[in-house]
Amino acid sequence: MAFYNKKEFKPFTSLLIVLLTLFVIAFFKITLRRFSYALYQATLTFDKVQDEYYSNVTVYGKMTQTKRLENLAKKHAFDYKKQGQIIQVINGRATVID
Amino acid sequence: MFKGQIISQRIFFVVFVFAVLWSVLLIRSAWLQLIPNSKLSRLQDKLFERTVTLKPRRGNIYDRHNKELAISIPSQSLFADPKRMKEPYYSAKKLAQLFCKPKSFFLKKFLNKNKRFVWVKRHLSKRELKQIKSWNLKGLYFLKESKRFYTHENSLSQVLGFTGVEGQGLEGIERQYEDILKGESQKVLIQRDARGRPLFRDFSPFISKVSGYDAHLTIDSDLQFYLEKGLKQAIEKSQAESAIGLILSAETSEVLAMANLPNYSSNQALKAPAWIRRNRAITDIFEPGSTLKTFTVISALKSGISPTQVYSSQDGRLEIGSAVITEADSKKKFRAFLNLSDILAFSSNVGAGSIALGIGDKKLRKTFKIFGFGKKTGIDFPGEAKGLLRELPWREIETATISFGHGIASTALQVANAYTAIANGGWLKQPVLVKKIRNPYTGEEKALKAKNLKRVLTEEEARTLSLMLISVTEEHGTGVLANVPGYFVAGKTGTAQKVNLQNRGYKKGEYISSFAGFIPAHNPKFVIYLMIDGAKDNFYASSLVAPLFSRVASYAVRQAGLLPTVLEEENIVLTSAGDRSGNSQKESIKTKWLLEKERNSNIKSDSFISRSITNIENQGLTKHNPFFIHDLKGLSLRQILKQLDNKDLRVKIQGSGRLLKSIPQGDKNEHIILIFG
Repeated sequence: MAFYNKKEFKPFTSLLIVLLTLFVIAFFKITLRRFSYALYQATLTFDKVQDEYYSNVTVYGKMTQTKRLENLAKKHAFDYKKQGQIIQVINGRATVID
Repeated sequence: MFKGQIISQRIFFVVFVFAVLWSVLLIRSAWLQLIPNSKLSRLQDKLFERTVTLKPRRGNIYDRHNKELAISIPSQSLFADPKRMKEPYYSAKKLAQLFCKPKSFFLKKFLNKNKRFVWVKRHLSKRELKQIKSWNLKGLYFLKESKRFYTHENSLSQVLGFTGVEGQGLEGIERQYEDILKGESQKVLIQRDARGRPLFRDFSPFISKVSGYDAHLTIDSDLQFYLEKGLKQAIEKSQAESAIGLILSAETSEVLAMANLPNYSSNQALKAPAWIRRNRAITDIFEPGSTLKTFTVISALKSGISPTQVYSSQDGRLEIGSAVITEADSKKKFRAFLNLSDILAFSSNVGAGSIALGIGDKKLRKTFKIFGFGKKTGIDFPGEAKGLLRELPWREIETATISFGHGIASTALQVANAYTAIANGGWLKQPVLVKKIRNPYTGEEKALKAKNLKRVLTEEEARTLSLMLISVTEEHGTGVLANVPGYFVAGKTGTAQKVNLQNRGYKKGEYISSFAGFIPAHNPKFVIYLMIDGAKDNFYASSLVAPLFSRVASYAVRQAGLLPTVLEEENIVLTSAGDRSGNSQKESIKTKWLLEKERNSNIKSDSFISRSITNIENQGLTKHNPFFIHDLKGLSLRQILKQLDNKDLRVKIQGSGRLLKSIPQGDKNEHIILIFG
């Protein structure tokens, strides 16, 4: 075959350009579709993570209920301050007068 | 040769035809691919595009410290496609066992082959979801939805309200702020591939952050809890029917706590009876009783009557035509003459009635009206009642009874808001429950501020009222048990008979006991209103509600970090950093005090304490505590002025004789009012 002869190669050049252009367009379209699928997967993951976050918020809200904290404090011998009880903090030192 | 030419012509012709046909095909193909065609585009869109409605996630509700009160969590709901069900009877049997419902309930849905979608159960629990998934039954499918969860269960239930199965607000804040919390659904155009998977379209994102706004309340959930706890104990102790408690910010009229007992679990709201679900602090009206005497006195002051004006106690009986007004406790004997302060302190019905008859119905009604009685406060909550304030003219007996809170009806919020106007120096404001709304994704915030409605008192009048209300919580006052050690408390008790709604008149032996007050009286931060309905045991407000007020107020001021105002001997702290001899210092002061007492019995212990405080201040030990004042009771004016000589204080003097009371004013106690008698 006379491919070393540039003159004989000339008729195929335009065809090659057309084919290459079509190939590039097709490549970009396929890449776009791949990105779409990747983003779709990311959306599903985001939904899952968001659901987990809200479940954790529920658990946190239950754990920090004032009633629960009060029961926990009482178990560790904490109690409400009595009326008239004064706690003074001066220069970082606390003194209780009751 | 001729034959050859014909053959080559024929070949050329066939090739030419095929070339033309192929060219047409190629050109047509290129034409379709490259040249836009609206008809074909529409066809393509119809095949591959879908409009999807994205439902917004309902906004959360937080308290003022950003603690979650109500959140939307994901949940799965179960639906069936009857046409695709292979074993409807078996499925119905399994579901009936799981949900404890009759089998026929499910069969009715599954046997209807005309329908393609029937709900089986909304918002499944985790256990139910796991169980149903394990059966793998055909025709049963799950749909992801959002479910409302209230983290504090019973606390604040009537204020928050609740949502329905579809997630719409039905009561309370959920209903009032429905449009803001629910958000707006978004329609998104999505292209799908052959498998139905969504695709980009013009680079527009399809992860849509669709959500309602979050609401941040003015409520402090710790104060709320403590208030509810106190009310619950009071109900149990007195065997009462119900109770209401309100704490407002004195400066801004923000609602810091609003309690209605009995309450219910917000996560199972529809199981509670309707009357418990109501926010009775806002929706229910009642005759407030003696807490309204304060406004009768305000009316007197506005009419030009001096605080020292005296009224005859008339031996506890005020005759108006054929009717007789007596004191609440007919056995108690008052002094012959009572001034305005005494009328409040001793809660004299006769005194209040005399004031009202003296100033007349028009002026009295005008005062009640400007303080917001007979109309809504405008709080952002549904179903607010406006109360009952009779039209003029009032008969004499009506004027007299309205002066001590009978014959007029108001909500608990109206009374609390009216006291807030006294506490903040004379401004009637619109109470608010929601502080701000916030977009959870963009962070955009919108603050909802309380409106200043109007000025109803001058500062001088407000200060005079505060002093009078302080006398209620002093020795001999009806609210002495409302006192909080170390602080000045201003307030008023009220014990009102309950109206008989079936017949006219009042129910025998049934009372509404209440206390309205604010603390600290000289620079109010909290206005607290407590009401206990139908106490069977010990129904007097002075012994039932006043101690509860003291506990709640004590908690509130400590939680806010407000230092005590009144120093007494046992409250002195004598330690400083590195000084471990505090106790010995205190002991030495005690010894000196005893010696001093022996030497001069005229000097009260308080005056000695004040000198000790001066010494401590000179040592710089109390420089961290600018709010302490001297307790100078019993001293003469000359002695006091000598004590205060080196202090940067502005003094205002009332009366003459020995000092009865000293009230600091201002943020740093730079003013002081001295009351002599």
